[in-house]
Amino acid sequence: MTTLLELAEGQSGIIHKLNMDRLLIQRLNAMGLRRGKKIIVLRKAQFKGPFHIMIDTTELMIREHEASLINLTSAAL
Amino acid sequence: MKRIAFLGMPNTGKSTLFNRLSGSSARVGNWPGITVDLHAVKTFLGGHMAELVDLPGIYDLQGLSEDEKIVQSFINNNKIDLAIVVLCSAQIERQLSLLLQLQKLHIPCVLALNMHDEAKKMGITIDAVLLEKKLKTPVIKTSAKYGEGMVELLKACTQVINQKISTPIKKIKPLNASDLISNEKTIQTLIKLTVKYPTKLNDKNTKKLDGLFLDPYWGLPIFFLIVFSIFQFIFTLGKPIQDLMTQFFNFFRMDYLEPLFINHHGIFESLLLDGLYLGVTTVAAFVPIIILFFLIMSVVEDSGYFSRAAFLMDTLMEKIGLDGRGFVMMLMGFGCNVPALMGTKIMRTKELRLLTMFVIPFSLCSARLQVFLFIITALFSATYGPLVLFCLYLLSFFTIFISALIFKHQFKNKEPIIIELPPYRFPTMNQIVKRSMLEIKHFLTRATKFIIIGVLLVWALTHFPMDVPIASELTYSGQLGKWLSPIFHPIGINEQLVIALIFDFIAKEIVIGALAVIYGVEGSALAHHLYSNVSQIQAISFMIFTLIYTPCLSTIATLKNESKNLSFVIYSVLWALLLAWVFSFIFYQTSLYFSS
Repeated sequence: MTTLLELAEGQSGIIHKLNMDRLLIQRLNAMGLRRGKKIIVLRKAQFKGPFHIMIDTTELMIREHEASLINLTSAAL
Repeated sequence: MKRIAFLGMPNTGKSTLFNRLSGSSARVGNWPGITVDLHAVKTFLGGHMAELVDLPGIYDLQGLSEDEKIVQSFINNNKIDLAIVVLCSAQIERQLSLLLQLQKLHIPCVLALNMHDEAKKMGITIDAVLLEKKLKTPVIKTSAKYGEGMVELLKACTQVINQKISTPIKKIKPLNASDLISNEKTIQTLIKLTVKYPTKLNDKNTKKLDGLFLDPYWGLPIFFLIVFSIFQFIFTLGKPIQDLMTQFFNFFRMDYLEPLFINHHGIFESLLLDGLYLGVTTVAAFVPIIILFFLIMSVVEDSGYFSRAAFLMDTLMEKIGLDGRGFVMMLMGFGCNVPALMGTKIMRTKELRLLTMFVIPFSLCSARLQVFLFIITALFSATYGPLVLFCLYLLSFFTIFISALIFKHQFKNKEPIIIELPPYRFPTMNQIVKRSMLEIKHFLTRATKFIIIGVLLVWALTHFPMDVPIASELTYSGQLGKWLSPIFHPIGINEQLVIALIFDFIAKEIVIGALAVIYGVEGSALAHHLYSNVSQIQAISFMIFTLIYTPCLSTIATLKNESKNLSFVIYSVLWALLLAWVFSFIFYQTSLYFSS
């Protein structure tokens, strides 16, 4: 099982599971992060900095810790 | 009276819509169960007096974030006759959930599909008529920025508030997993029926701009260039205005107020002039800077650049428990701490915001710079002067970082840092002006009383008992200085300078004037007097102390306003005092050791 953390710049994946408590899941859902959605990593900041990701029409900045909690079904090329 | 609440996610133009419908007369009000300020306005709608309330932007009705709690408590404690749910049309898919949650509570809603112009440009079409039928809620396409759809929206609101409500409004309850899934299904079906997405989304401008602003090499230099230009703009424009105001206040005092009291030099006149008038003018001096600051900040915020800046600085700031937005505010603090503290409003997690507010007062602001320049030119040669000043700036950064590091566990951020990077947008003049007017109103109503009381207190300390020279060692301030001397002696600050520190507390701008009163000499004579009475080591110790301890009364008043937490303010003031003393002590004692 891969997580968002393992994706490189330009790669994408499908969300399988959000590994966190229910309230947080609800919040992330509202920001567009939902099961079955495609995430594209637009860029990563240097020195283990945040990720810049896109889901549908929404772009987000997400830190490494939160990225590690998002499980993906398949890491596409 | 009908109560109409504006609800929506962040970055949907909710507040712009609120401003459109409310005009410029919004005020800050108090509601049961809520400790923060919400903007509200009374207006006439559909034959009723109606109160429009702008609730904070939230992602979810449940949730534990500060803003979510505010909205929950507002809904649970106040009867809402109508909720105007504002969403960003291009992101309708993920934003509909908020409306569904409100409908479950039986709150009458009107849905505003805002920024419909933006969605159209991206090629997204929404069938509002069908959506309205399916949701059983009026759906209006709007563009708050350009004022489109406002008439239709008001009409829909009028209709809804004139309907009889049959089912009582429920309180918010946690959703269970099945609720979530059923909500999700409803949304998917609705979206499939009513929204058409283009095969490829075209938002080329945002992509191109991000390529530049978030470039791994150019991003940071561009960021610092932008911050530097903002800084230059605010202070090259603000400083002359401030100076002009000071001149005017002095002129008004000399030519109009003092002649009024020409024959009475009693305590009452002194109270009016040196107490009350000084207090009022101290408050007024902040007005131009705050207005300019928020003019620029709303451009930066509304354009979408602010979250990009957060992205750029986040890596470093995460290490000291802050985030990228905090860094921008910290830099602004080097101009003036007051608007920088007010600007932390944009950070929506409480702990993060408190920690940022905790460190901002250590930023060497322009008022402190004036004091340092006077002392440095009086006591140091042209070769060493700039070096001393440079070291003070370094120390300022150092105290910020060290305080954040020490207290990052106290103000531990429990929220995930996920920040939306909205598309770049052109802010309109109307929005910008309204925002700064609101902020200045806010500052004046909340800070004035506090600042004037503080000024009067210092006035009393330095003027009583009545039969001794003002600010002399025989006044209460002098006695306080003597009493405190065991504390200040080890850091090289003598009794007269302690009295100056008491004045310092009001505003750094008046320190030079205070020294003039204390020593009884002015201008170059004062500089000379300092030169012969205060050693360089003492002077640096005094400057270190001045740099780190409480910047000014206005800063404290703002800390209080923004945090709504008196113990936080006391905590922050005490920490600053302690840190100031420790740094001065280390410097003074080691210098003494090496110079002897």
